[in-house]
Amino acid sequence: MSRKNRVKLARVENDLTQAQLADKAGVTRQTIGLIEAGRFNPSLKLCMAIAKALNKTLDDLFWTEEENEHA
Amino acid sequence: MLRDERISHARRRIMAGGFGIWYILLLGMLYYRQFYLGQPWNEYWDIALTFFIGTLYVTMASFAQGAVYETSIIRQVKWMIPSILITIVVVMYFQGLVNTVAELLTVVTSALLGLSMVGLLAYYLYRRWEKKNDLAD
Repeated sequence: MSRKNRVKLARVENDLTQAQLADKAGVTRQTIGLIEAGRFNPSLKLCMAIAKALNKTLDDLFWTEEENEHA
Repeated sequence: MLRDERISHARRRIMAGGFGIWYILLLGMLYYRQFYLGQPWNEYWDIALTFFIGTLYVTMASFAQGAVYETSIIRQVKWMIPSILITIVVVMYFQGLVNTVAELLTVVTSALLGLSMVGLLAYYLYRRWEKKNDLAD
């Protein structure tokens, strides 16, 4: 099962830079970059902070997919 | 000040890795002094005490914070107690502190008493953690 997210898309839709979103969520710009790239697994608390900052629900931003779903 | 969970996680991982290296090196130093240099224990008691305090903290903190698999506790203890007993007897034999059967019995009895006390304390801490979090049966 792989983790997917739409944080980058939602951030661009909200016309925010990584640094601005990081400020709103209370983390560093690097952390937002890693989350967008799928290289850091954020806690539920941080996921909720990001969702709130982007006016989205958790379902809009984060989901999982079976590895062979698109194989 | 900004508290970024990614940085906290990474720092914790690095500290844990550092602790692991430090712990293994300390153990290596103890073995080296004991078996290679043949030093008497009172020449390296400070290293042994540091190693003991570190080990005791990790063990007790694991039980006090529920960081153990309950089902494997008995299995682990079954292996740990004989291993610790054998280590104590071997080290004391090399130190020339165990020469007779009476001395051997004293060492084994003292070690068993000490281990039982540590075990009881660990069990108490684990149950206290369960109770505190409403997880007790």
